[in-house]
Amino acid sequence: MNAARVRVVARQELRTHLRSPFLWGLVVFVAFATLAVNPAAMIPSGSATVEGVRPFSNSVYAMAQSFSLTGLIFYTFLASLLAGLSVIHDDESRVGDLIHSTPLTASEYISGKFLGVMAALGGVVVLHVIMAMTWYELGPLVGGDSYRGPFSVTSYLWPALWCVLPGVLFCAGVSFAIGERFRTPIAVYAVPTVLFGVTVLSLGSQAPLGLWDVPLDIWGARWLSQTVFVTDRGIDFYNSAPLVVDQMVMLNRLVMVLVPLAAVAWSARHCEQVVRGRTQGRVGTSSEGTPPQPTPLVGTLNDLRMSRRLPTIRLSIWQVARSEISQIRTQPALYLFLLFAVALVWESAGSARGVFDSGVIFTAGGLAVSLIEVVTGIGCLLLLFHTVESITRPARTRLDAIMYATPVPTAAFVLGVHVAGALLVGLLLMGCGAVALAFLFLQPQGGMAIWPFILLWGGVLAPTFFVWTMSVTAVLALTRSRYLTYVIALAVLMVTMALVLTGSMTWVTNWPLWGALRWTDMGTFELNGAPLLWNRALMMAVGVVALLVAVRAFARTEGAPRHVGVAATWALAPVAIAAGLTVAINAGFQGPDARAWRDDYEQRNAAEWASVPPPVITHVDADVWLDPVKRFMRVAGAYDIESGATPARQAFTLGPGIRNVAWTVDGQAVDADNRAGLWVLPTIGRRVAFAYDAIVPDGFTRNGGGTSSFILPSGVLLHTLGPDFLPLPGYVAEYGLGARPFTVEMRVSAPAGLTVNGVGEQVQQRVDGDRATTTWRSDYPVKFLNLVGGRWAQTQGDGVAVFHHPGHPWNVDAMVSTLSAAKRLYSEWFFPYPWKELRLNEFPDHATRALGFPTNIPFSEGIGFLTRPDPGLPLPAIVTAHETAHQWWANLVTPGREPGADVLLEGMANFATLLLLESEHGGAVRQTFAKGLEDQYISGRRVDVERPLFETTSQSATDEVVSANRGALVMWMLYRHMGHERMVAGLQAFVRAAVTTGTPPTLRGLLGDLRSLASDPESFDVMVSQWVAATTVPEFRVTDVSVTPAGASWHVSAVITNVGPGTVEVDVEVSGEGSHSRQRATLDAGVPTHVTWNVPGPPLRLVVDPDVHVLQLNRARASIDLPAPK
Amino acid sequence: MLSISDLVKVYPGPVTALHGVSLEIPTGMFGLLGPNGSGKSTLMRILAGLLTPTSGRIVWDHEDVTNTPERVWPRLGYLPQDFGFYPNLSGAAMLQHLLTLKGVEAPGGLARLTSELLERVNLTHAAHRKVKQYSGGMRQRLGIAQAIAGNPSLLIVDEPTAGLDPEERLRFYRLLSELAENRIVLLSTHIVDDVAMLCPRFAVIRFGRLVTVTTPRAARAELQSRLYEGIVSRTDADRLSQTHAVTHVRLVEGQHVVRLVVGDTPPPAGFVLAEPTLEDAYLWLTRAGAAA
Repeated sequence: MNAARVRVVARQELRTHLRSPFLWGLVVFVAFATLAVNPAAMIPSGSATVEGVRPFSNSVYAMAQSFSLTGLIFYTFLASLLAGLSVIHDDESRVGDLIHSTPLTASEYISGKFLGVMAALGGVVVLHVIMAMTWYELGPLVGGDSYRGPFSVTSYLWPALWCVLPGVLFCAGVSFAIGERFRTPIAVYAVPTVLFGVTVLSLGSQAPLGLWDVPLDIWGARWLSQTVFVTDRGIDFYNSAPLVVDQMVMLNRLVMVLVPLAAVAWSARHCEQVVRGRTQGRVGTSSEGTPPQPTPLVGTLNDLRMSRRLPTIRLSIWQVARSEISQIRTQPALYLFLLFAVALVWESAGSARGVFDSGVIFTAGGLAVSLIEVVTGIGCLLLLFHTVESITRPARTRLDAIMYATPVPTAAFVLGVHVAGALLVGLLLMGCGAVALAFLFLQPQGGMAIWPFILLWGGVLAPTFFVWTMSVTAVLALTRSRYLTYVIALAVLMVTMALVLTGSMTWVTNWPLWGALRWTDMGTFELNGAPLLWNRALMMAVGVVALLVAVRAFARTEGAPRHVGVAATWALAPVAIAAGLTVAINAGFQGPDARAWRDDYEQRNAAEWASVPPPVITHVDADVWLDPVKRFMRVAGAYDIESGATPARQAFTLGPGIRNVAWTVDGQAVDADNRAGLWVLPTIGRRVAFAYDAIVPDGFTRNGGGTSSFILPSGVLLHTLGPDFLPLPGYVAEYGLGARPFTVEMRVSAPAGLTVNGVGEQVQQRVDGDRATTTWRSDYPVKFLNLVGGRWAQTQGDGVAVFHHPGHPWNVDAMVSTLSAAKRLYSEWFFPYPWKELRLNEFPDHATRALGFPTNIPFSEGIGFLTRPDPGLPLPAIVTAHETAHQWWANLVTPGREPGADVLLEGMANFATLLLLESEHGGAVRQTFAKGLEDQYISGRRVDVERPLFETTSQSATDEVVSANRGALVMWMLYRHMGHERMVAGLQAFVRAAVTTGTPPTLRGLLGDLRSLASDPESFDVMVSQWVAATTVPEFRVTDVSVTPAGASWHVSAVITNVGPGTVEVDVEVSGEGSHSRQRATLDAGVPTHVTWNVPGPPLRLVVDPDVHVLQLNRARASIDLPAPK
Repeated sequence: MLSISDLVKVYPGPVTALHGVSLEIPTGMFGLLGPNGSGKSTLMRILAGLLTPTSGRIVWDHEDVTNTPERVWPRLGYLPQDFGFYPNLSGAAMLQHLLTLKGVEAPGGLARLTSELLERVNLTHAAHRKVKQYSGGMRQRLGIAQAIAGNPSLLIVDEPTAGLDPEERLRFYRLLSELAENRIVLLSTHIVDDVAMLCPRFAVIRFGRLVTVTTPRAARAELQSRLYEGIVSRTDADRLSQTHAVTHVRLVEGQHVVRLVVGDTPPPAGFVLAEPTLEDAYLWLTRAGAAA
């Protein structure tokens, strides 16, 4: 190999790429990623609030995360395209014959080309590092939680060398080899599409690292996610610890280097064969072969009787499309897109997980919506490459001079390509649809239906593909550059993704409908149908404008004026639609007007009214009239106010959507002063009556999504956790009807056929024509009210009932039996259930939640009804048990707002669920649920800002997982410590006191009641000080393990160490074939404890805490496979 | 009649490709002769509606078509100098595609017309072969087939005989002659023989300027009794090029044969009177045009 010739080729290649839009586009993207994104935000630790310990923006971990994600998002496509089109560019320039008729060998050619490519990309990486260093060390700090640590050049170099360069080499090398091998651009375009899709898919997996990650983790992002960031190690670690690599990632990096080098070496061999004509490759000349004798010219051209007629636009479009379709059939690489898409669909459907990693039952509509990002992503990429290549094909093949001199209208050249593209993407959607239907067919539960796919993918998504394709064409026509068009299109896709991820997307900008659609089997697009129609109309209008611009700017006649300024006139239609949609969104219940209402409410009233005791309601009497078609309700009701506790002033809160409000006090009409939603009555009275109407929800959502209050033809959900149903007493920082219980009678009028359940028991139902009026009356006082309506089937149990969509029967029996069991067991363990009925009602998945209202539990279809039955983790039963527990732990025990209150709500509900699972489903199920709670807690906690259970509040998002999950697991440990009888007695005493005395219950009060019944109060205190008053989480390690035969048995010895804080009593078990031996060890922090066993059979495994009783970090590392005996 | 008035084309740079060319082209064959880079292809592309002129006017049958190429295309047949085809289509499929785009019709249908056109250009044997397997000459013939299809009123052929062997060239001359009977055929070439064979009138263009519009006979007559030929050494050939209006020098059996035009001065010794060819006349005109 001649080094000088290689250098010449490399230099020329570098010069070429220095003019390439791909290279400069990459520089711009990398610059954006550096300047606009705060690396500290990628560290899953620390807090942006005051007093939080903040991560360094310039630590090696921040840089590693930043660089690897920048690699994934920006480098994958552009590095691949730049490298992959390298040899093809020479083919299209037809320099092959000139180059290969010199002494330059194929190996020298390939080596030089690839070196030039890597020099260009390496330059970008160097620029990236320099930009990062300059910006993060000297520039302004971006983001409120930015904090600059000491400078270290290795913080930048190490991530660049470890994460970025191997990834760049891999993408470039593989694409280069594909480009050389197949010599067609479409094959090259498929490479980054597959690499990006596979990487994103693997990044979304929560599975621990495995061997399959070695060839897939291109940028090291998954290694970082699963090794470094999966558990919060604390800010000190991320700020100062070096980046340590393990064997797995070393192997992965080696693969990322060796595979592309091998691919390029293989390219050299293949190129050698192509150059020597031994195999098909470049478009070159061919010989005539041995033509037969020329036929003599007989007759004249006039004998052919040719004539011409101006081809119609339709014929022209179809003819261009036919030609394009014939081209498509000759490009097998396009089929790679289709294959990849169907594989991605299958994988996405199969790997979908719900809460607690539960399996999901997909219905056709739900599956179609869940796959929208996949089909639009792949479809848009496919259309991008097809459109650009097709429209530039006449120029690249030099047919343009002939073709553009025909009388075909210019629009036909554009539309013909698009017709072919539409068929192509139709093929893609049909393939994906077939796979999706197959998935539905193979599901044990669920059913098949084709119409949702036709509606969603065919109808709803059509404007997406239309506006995308037309816009790409317009950009190509305006820029006249194929590569620049690719860069701009990829930038648009990335910006779109960024808008979605940052929550900045709205109906106006959401052209691909990413994150906008929710499917419910209970009613199609009832909530978001109107904004969706506006959005689709907007996209069609924008697409038409883009088409007009494309035709006007089309490069048919060189130098012809483009007159695209006329587009300003055409743009009036989409601008008008966008303006109207913006106004509607702003005025809607998620718009700035609604946010402004909340700010205004607080600003005007908090100072004066926050400390004023609200009126105490003793009885609620209300008539509610519903018109779901119009989302309308009319309410007329009255509150009886408790005498003797009347504040000097009476005020009630009503939400912004409430209209035509009228008040009476003790029968007299009064004019209330409306202070931004706080209605202040001029007089004091014992009976306050009100009347008003409302639209619920009022207006458009911001970007699809859902709402937790609605009146729709398919379902109703209204509740007093917000001010949109009934007036809330006083100024409300947090919502509710008060901590004191009251009685209620409510009459609900709704269209017949729509069942509406309320709180209490149904005492009457009357049907008048097409309307039914149901009366609900509380048989025991309550503190919250709701109405849940639907067109249901009903399944009864012993004093319980589940109201559900007829098409969702799979988990209903489990829910009924859990309701019955929970009602019975919780009554036994906590307090007798005071109400007569207990209902669970399925509502449309406009909000994915369940709520423990008294007697009347609303339960989203997406949270348990569509969960795949799994005896190992019965999620429907778990959620049902949890929400039923709230009948006690929220409705009977209603804490105030002091710290630790949420433990009494969510923590105790989870603890109750653990108890019920242990009782009704066995220890294994309880352990699985406990592990799930533990995993959620560990991944959700923030080590440096975690508060002890005593100090948690509802104001902090990080406290939620502590209260709910750690709270439950700590209660379980206390339960184990105290024993069932004592614990239950303590809980009963506490609940009884909460119900009878009316004193707001507290966590300290509960622990006090439990302590009074503990057999060893001192050890109880130690547990509380460690688990409730502190944030102790132990972590166990097993070392120095030996297994030796001891006669007929086996002697096992191991050292167990708690490498975390605290003193913990824990079981340690050795198990083998058909035998197990367990010991209890008390482990102090950092103190190795020697434990031995004698087991009858060959021991195989040692597990610390086999029954999942003790909260711990890194549970997987506290169990080991035992070595073979010595 | 095709009238071209003061046509100017300036490319960004600026590079002026046409300096105010004016021509009147009647029905029949008309040649446009000039060296490479003289502006012929620029003029052809403007007439074919693929390039807009900087200034000037084009009127065809009393209709100004300067900035309305869509009025030209329905009646145009165009064979560019540099062109290609979709490599993966067969010759027949490619031709039929172009016929459809042109709106060509025939009583027997397009498929049959395609076959007949391919026969006219001697491509029947390769009709179903992919174009990427065609030789350069085969592609040229396919280009000719699409250009002559549909009875165009204006046929523009730019360097049409490039890549054709002598037999095919003669076949093509016959086709063009037939077509020129009742339409404008504009033949742009740097091969003088093409003009000599086909064009009753032609124009000479050099450096974007029109040198002359004449007939082959008139062009040759210009040199009658003024053209001399002699055999000299290489050194003398070089010297004569400096002192006389040498039209061309060629090697014949290793000897330099020089042809030159004399004015008032007598010819060099040993030179005899020669019968001027169109090539002599063209070379004399382009040299004279350069001098002018």
